[in-house]
Amino acid sequence: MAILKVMRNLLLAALLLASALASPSMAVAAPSEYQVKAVFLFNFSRFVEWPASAFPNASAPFVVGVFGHDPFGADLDEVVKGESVNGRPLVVRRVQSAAEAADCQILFIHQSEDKRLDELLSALDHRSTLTVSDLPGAAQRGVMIRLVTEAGRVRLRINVESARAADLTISSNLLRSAEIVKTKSGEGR
Amino acid sequence: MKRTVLLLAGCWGVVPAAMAAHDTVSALKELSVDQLLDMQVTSVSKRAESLSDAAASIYVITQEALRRSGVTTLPEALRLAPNLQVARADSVQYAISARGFNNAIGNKLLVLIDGRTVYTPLFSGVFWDQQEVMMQDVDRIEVISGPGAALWGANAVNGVINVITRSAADTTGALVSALAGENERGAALRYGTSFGSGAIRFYAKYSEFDHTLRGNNAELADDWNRGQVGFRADWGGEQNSFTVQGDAYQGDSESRGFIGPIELTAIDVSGANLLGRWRRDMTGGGQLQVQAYVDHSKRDDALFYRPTADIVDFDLQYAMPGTTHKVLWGAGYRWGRDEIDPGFVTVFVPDSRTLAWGNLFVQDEIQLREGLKATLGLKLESNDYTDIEVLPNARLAWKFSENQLLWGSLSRAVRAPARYDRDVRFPGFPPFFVVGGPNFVSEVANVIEVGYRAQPIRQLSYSMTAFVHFWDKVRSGTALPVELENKIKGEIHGLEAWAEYRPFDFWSLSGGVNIVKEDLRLERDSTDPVGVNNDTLRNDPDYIWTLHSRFDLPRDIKLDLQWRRVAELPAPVVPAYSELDLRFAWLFTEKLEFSIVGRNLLHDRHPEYGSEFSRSEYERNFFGQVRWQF
Repeated sequence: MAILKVMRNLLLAALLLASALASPSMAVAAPSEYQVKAVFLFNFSRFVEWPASAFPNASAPFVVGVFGHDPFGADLDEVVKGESVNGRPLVVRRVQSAAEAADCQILFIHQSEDKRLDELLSALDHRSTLTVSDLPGAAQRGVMIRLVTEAGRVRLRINVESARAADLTISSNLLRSAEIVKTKSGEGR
Repeated sequence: MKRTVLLLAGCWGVVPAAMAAHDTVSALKELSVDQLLDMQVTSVSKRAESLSDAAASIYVITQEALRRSGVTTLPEALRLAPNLQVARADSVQYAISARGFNNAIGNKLLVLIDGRTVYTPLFSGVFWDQQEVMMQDVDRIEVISGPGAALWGANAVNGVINVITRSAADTTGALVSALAGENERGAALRYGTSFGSGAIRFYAKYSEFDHTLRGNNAELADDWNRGQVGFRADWGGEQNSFTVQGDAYQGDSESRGFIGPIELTAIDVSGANLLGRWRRDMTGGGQLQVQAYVDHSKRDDALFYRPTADIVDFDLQYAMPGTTHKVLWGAGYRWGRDEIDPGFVTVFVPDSRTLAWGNLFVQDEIQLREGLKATLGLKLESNDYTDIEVLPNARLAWKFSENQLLWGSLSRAVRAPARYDRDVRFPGFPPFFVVGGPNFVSEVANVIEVGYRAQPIRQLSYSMTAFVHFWDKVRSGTALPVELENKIKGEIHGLEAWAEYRPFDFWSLSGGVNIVKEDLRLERDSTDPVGVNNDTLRNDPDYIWTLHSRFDLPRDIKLDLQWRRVAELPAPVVPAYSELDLRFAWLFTEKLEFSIVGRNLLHDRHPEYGSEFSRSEYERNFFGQVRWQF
C-alpha cells in the first residue's frame, strides 16, 4: 500500500509537471560575472548622457576604457563590436595612466586597483568620464557606478552626486534599479 | 567553501555545452537592465552555473532575504527555506531536519559553515545552541534537501546546508548592529579593511536570550548568553586565491537547579576553529582546491553529557577541464578525538575515543546531447565502525526549453554510526536501561527524486520536487535492557514546492509547501518496546506552508511579512499552529537603518516541540534593531 501511495504522489507530481506551461523567454544560461559586467558597461553608454565637451571632436570615437588589470578578456570587445553611440563608433581601450583614462567616456576600474583609485579619481576630476568599478566601497570614494556581486547577481550602486559633478546625466531607468550612494564625507576629494 | 551548491549545480547542471562567448554576450545584450540585474552569474567556481540548472532540490537563502526577515540566529534563518522543517525546542535549541526524522538530536542533515562541518561526526547531530554566525556577513545559505552523499559523504542523507559567508573583500568598512527587545538582546560589530591583494575582517557578536515559559507559566531555566569573535582574510591573484578564517565562542545558560541531590549547573559551551583554503586555477583550465581546518568544541551539560571534541580535517578536490565530460574528483581525511564526562542522563563507555574517516570521490558530468546531461558520482568513505561505505548517485537533467528543467535522481546515502549509537549508556549511572549497540551499523536510504523547475515569465519562478526515501536499518532498540540496533525500515515520501512571484518591482510574494508522509515499521523480529512513534526517532508535521511578502514602500521603507502554518506533530502531540512575523525597516540614510521586528504575532504563546509537561512556549514579542555602516 505504501508503494501505491508513493506512486500516486509521484504521478501527481508528474501531472503537475506536464500541466505546467511555459513560454519561451530570454533566459541565458550561466554567463560569467565579467560577461554580465561587460554588457553593463555597454548599457551605460545607452543610459547616460555625455556633454559634447566630453569628446575631443565631432568624429572622435566613444571610448570604453579598462584601467589597469583587464578581467574581461575578449568579452568586452565582443560586446561593443559594431556598436555606436550617437554616430560615434564604440571602441575598447586598455589604459595604464590617468592621462589616458581622461580620454575615455566610460572607464572601468578593476577591484585590484584599490591603491591607485584615489589618485586616478583626482586626475579625472571635472572630466566627463563615467567611472565604473567593482572595488568594494568604490562608490563611497567617488566612483560613479559600483558593480556589486551579491548572491550571484550583479547589482548597481550609483553615486549620483559624483556623476552630476562630471556633467553626466544618468537615466532614471538605470537609477530606478540601483542603490543610490553618497560620497563618504570627510574622506578623499 | 567546499563543494558549494554553485559547484554542485555545475556538476549537475544542464546547459548547452560550451556556449560560445559571443552567443552569450549577444544574448545578454538583448536583456533589459532589470533582466540583467536578475541574471545569475558564476563567480565562485568555474563550474558554477545558474541555480535554475541544478538537478537537485536546492533553495538559496540570500543575504537580502536574511536582512529583510530580521532573523538573528542561524536556526531562525533556516525557517526561510521551504524545504526544511524547523521546530524550536527551547530558547536556543532547535529540531531541524528535511524530509522527516526531525528530533532534538536530528542526525540525518549535514550542516557546514564555510566548508567546515558543524554536524559533529562523533555524536552525529548539530548542537544548534553552539552555532553562531555574523548574519550581516553571510552571503547566502544553500539548502539542499535530499541526499548529497556522493559529494559530501555520509550523513548527507536528508539534506545538506551550506552557510557561506562573504569574501572579506566584500565586507570592508565598519558595521555596528544592535538589537533590544522583550525576549532577546544583542550587538554585533565588524570591521574590514583591504591590504595589498586582499582584505580582512574581524567581528564580534554577543546575544542574550531570555528564558521561556511552560504552558503552566513555570519558568524554564533556559536563559542564554553567547559571545563569538572571528576573522576572515581573503587574498590572491589571478591564479591563486587564499582564505584563512577562524572563530572562537563561549556561551552559557542560567543555572538549572537540582534533580534530587544532583546539581544541574549551567550548560556551558565553548569552541574555536581555524580554516585555510587555497584555490588554484590551472593554466589548462582545471581548478584545484585544498582545504584544511581544526575545530575544538566543548560542551558542559550536567544533565546530558560533557563532551570535549577535537577535529582535524583535510580535503582536496580537482575539477578537470572538459566539454562533453566534466570530471571532478577529490579526497579527504578527517581525524577526531573526544573525551566525554558523564551527565545525569548519559555516560559513554569508553569515555574517550579517537576516530578517523577517509574518503575518495569522483563525479563525471556527461553532456549526452544539447539540453540533456547525466551526472554519475561515487564516493567511498571509510569509518572505524563499518569500514567502507559506498555512496553512489546518478542524475539526469533535461533542459527542454530555455526556462524549464526536468530532473531525476537515484542515490544511496547512509547515516554512519557515531559514538552515540555504539557507546552510550542511559542513565548516567548503573543499572543501565539503554546501552549502545556493539553491532550497530549504518542507517541506509535509497532515494528516488523527480523535480521540475521553471520560470515561465520573468516575474514568476517555481520549483517542485517529489521524493521517496526507502529506509533500512534505522536505529531501534531491543526489549529492556535496551540495546541499540538497526531494525526499523520503511518509506518516507513527499513533495517540496515553492514559487516566487514579483508582480511589481516594489512587491514580491513567495510561498512554499513541504509535505512529508512517513510509513515506518519495526522489522518482524524486533523486540523494540517503544515502536516507531517516539520523538527520539522523529516527530514530524505532515505539512508546512509558508508565505512571505516583501514590500518596498516609498521613503525607503521596507515591510516584510512572513507567515507559516505547521501541521500537528503526532507523538507527543504538539498542536498545529500558524504564526506571523513582521519587519518594518526604515533606511534613514544609506548607512543607517532602523527596524522593528514582531514575532509570533498571531498568538500570545505557542509551543513547537516536545511533550506538554516539559516543553517551552514562545511568546509574541518585539524587538528594535539599528544597523549602522560607516
